[in-house]
Amino acid sequence: MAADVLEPGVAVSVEGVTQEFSLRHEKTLKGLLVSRLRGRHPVAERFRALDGVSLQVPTGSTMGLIGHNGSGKSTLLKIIGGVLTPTAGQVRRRGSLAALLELGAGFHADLSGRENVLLNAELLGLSRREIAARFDDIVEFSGVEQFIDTPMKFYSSGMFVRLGFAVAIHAEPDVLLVDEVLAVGDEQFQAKCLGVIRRFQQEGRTIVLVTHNMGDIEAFCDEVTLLHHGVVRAQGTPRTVVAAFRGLLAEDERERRAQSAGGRDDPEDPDLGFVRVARVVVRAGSGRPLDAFVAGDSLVVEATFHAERPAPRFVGTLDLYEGGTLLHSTSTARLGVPVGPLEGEVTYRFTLPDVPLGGGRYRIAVGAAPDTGSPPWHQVGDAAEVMVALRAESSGPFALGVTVDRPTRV
Amino acid sequence: MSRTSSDAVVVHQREPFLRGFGSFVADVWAARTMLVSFVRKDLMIRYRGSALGIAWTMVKPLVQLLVFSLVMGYFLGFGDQIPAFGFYMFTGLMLFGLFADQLTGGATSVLWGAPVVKKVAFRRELLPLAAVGGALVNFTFMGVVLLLAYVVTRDFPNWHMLGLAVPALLITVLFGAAGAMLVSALNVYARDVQFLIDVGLLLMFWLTPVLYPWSTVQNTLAENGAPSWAFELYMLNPMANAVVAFQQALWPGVDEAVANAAAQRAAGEPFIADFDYFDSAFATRLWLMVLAGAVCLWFAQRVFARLQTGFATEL
Repeated sequence: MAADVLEPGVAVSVEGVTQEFSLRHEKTLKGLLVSRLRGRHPVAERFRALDGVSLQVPTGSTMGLIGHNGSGKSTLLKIIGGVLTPTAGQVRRRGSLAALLELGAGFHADLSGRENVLLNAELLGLSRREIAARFDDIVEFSGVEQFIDTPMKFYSSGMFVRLGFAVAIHAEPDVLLVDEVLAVGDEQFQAKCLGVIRRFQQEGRTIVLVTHNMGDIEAFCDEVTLLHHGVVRAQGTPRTVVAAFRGLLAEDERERRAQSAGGRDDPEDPDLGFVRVARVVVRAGSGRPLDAFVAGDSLVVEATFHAERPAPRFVGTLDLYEGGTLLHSTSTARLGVPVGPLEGEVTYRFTLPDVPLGGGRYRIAVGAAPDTGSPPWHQVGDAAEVMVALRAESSGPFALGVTVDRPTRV
Repeated sequence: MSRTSSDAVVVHQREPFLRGFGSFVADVWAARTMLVSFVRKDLMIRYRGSALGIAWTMVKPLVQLLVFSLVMGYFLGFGDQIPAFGFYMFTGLMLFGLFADQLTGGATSVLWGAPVVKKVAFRRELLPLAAVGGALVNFTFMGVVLLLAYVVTRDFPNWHMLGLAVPALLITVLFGAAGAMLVSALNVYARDVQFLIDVGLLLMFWLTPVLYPWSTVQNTLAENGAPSWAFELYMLNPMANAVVAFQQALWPGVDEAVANAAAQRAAGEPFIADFDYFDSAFATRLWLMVLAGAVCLWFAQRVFARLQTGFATEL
């Protein structure tokens, strides 16, 4: 069939997908009849979760979907997975598929883990023989051996997810859809999941990942799509799209502030003035490039602030993040510069001596605010990115220079 | 590896209403082992933790048989008019039970499968069809009981009528599967359906000649001057046809009853309980009903295909 022709090298093709939900709540015949008789227009109660979304996931690549809660990410994943039928548009796919939608693989609480694994594996298209061959691996991977014959209603949510992930990956799908699964489970299991995702990438399988963890996005995705209120807002490399998302977050924050405006906290208050971050220059004390930063080197941040309207009180803020996690936060006021008025421009130079960063990717955020702790007028979320090479002796955000003594023989 | 060379599929096939039944049949056939698993899981969950287990499926019909034998056979005196009345009722109860099980099981089948429906893409029709399969399993158990009863009473059916059981079963399963599919989908949108089904089945049970001979209806209507189409209307109920045919096929008393009726008629007695169905056109009528059942199944599947697009959001 002509409609089934999909360009080579494309694993998933989403074409003009629109999804509308009706917001009615009547689940009874009476409710339906009453609303119908009263002539309420169903059209008026519809909500558009996705609006003309198109994207292509190349075979063997990993696509990240990011966006606010309610931006349509999970809905899109369900449509790709074939669970939801879109109101308009179509999805084409090449190869087998397994999905972990909203933290689960579709388990029935009354059935035992074993029965659910068998049922689910069969639904994912495994033959009886394949299931028998892989069953032990599935159970071992999930780590729920002890409870495998217990009805799943007694499982913790972590066990639910672990078993779901285990079944999905052992189905060896060509396309794997994952919704927020990496956010749960203990660290050990997360590491195991990430290992599997790496292996899938090496084996040329296609992955679509929904996550709120920008670190995962940057670490795993070849390409990222940013959804905003059901439309594709940005698409491209993790770096650019994550930056776009941060911009979006800041933009929304400002909008929200503007809406809930009032009183002293209003950054747009004319009596308060308005200061913006004009320029930020970050360099390493040693002169090395920031993407090859070494623990122990110093960082110098020169931030220039510009008062668009004279401000009676002003502080400059400096924050250090790893992904979405704040590692360090300070401000001019906290560092001893008295809070004072600002007219025109001012440049502050922050010096961070002996920065003990472990291997990873960090960003520096600079903001202008009326006071320490009050909402900023303006903030540059990714003023600079600092990358530290991974090191053999330790992991985590801090290079603490830990040493160990030789064991003393007793 | 076949990973890159495999053909692409359209994830959500949009078919016009009149088309798509063929792919449904093909998909169900391809997923037949899945269907068996569903049936097994369904039965497993239902009887988990009960000592009698699946034997419970037979308790209700056997108690019904006991009560009806007492009331209908003994108190109301049908037992005197209808030879082997126990078999007469049991065969009818068994077939009607098959029909009713499909609908009641079907009504909640998609709701039951909700956790899976919301997470995995598969032919949702498998859920009501699993209810049909479960009903057939129960029916098989009843069949074993019937066989045992034949052996114990040494009262065997009329083998030359056995062929009638085939269209009777086909009618019951085709209409039952159509009904199961329809109510399973409707119940997702309006939970009243599962309760409506109970009421509907109660009405239908008493409008089906399970506990009384069909000729009683015909005669009573005639005596009261009802137009002849009133009885035709009664016999439009597919289950009335199926039950009559099934009883003719498997009820050991049929020959005796026909002979009795002939004697009664010859003697000019006022009440005639006739058991010889209309005429030779009965077989044709049954096969027409089978055809009607097939059309209903097609229609129900097409409606289901339309309604299932909303399952994941409604559940």
